[in-house]
Amino acid sequence: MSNTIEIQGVSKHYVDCKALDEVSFTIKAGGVTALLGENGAGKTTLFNLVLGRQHPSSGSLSLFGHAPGNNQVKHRIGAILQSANLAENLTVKEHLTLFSSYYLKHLPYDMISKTAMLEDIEHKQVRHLSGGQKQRLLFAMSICGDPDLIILDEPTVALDIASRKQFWQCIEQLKAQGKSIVLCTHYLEEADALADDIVILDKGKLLAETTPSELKGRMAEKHMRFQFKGSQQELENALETRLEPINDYFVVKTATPEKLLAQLYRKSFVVNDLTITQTSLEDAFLSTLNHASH
Amino acid sequence: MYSLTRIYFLEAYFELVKTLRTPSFVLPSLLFPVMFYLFFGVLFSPPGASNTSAYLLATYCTFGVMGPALFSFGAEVAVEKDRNMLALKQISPMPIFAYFNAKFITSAVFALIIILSLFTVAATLADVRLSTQQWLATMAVLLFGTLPFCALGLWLGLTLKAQSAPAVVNLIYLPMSFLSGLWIPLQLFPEFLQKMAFALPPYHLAQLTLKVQGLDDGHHWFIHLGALVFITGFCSIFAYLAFAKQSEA
Repeated sequence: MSNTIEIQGVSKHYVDCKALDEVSFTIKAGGVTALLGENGAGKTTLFNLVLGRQHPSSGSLSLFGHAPGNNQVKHRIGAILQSANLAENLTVKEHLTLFSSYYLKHLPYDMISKTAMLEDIEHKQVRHLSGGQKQRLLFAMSICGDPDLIILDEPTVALDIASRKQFWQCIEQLKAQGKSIVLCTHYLEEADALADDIVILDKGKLLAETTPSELKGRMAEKHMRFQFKGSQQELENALETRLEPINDYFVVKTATPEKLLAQLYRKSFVVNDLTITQTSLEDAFLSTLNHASH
Repeated sequence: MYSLTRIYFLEAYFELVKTLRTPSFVLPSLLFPVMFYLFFGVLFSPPGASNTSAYLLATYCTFGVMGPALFSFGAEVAVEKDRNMLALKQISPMPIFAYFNAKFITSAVFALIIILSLFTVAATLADVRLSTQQWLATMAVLLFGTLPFCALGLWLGLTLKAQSAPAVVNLIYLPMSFLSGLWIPLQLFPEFLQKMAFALPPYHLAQLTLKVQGLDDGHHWFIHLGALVFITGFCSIFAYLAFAKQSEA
């Protein structure tokens, strides 16, 4: 099976900056790829190139073996653009009817509204929708042409947690159908929950192509946190490790928290309110960025 | 069922529905021309001066049909461009001409409603008498006459920012209408203003419309038509360039 997106040595220069610098990677058919990076990393520029809204200064992109912006390609792509809006006084159903007409093979209306959880609000005009409902309508519009590739540029920005989780369910359903989804997000937990692959951009350069578990695996350490009333020095000597005081707590970073725990109990130190947490994707991501800048 | 005809139809249909649900567009564009004509063309025109009423029918119709064309293209396109609504259509496989066509149909429908309202006022309250051919010819000239203003509006809409577009369109629409003699006949203007009107597009549309009744300034019709075609072409070229530039976002 051919790759969904192939990006080879793509650079995009503006008058005053390099938005993308020699970026190459491929996205295979099926699954969710999260595109991560800080503001100005070049994510939106990359999407604009993929959607054919801009042309690269050098390098080449192909989608399903065709050039971006090709009409055949457009029939196979759906997208949510960053800060996209909709006509305020058309209803959910009217928007979907119109947008579905654009595509050669479009999904039945009932199926779209069910996937995007819009059934109860189909006769509401857009101005009466909540933020989450609006995003789900945009999502519905992005899938109404039964696309093979769906591009989502920060689809859950400014949504509350409940709406975001609902949105994730929509994406999970598509993933289960074997669609390719490229998701750009600022929420690392979103990438962790949904993504099979992760692409990290930093200042226009490709920093890493990885997976959520590999990224977290790079930071195999766990965070052990507890309260301790005695002397920090004494405890450090006994455990043969450094303690980091944070607020009223001490934090130890270790790959083997079990050993430390055994030490603590053997030497009868009394600690309170003990927690051990896995390194979050966010920590791993930030440390990857830090390594790159050193 | 996929068909281009269906896309063009739905695009125009929903554009019209959307616009009709916007009172801030519908009320001014329909009420102002009728109100102005009622005041200046009927109530305050000298008694028995059905010639004045007939003259002002042509000029206020011109004023009326310009509004929806300038605003649905100028202000609306600017908003839809800045709020990424146009981009959403551009990345879909829809033929983008269907979008512009929908705006034109909407302007034309509003123009038709305005023309018929003013015709009704003219025929019933102002005692304007025209032959059937003259009524029809007046309508046809005005409907085709929206085209240069659609093109001008489109150029503005693709160039201006959403926030400033309505104000700029008004700043062009209202003074240009006044200086083209659409509110007060040009004969009442100082001579240099009368000469200046020749450079303004609404003047030429008003003159073509007046020619149907033989009330125009007496220039050859092809001068006015030529001017309108030139303006349409000129604005279309700049609109095309602006569109190409905004597509390369």
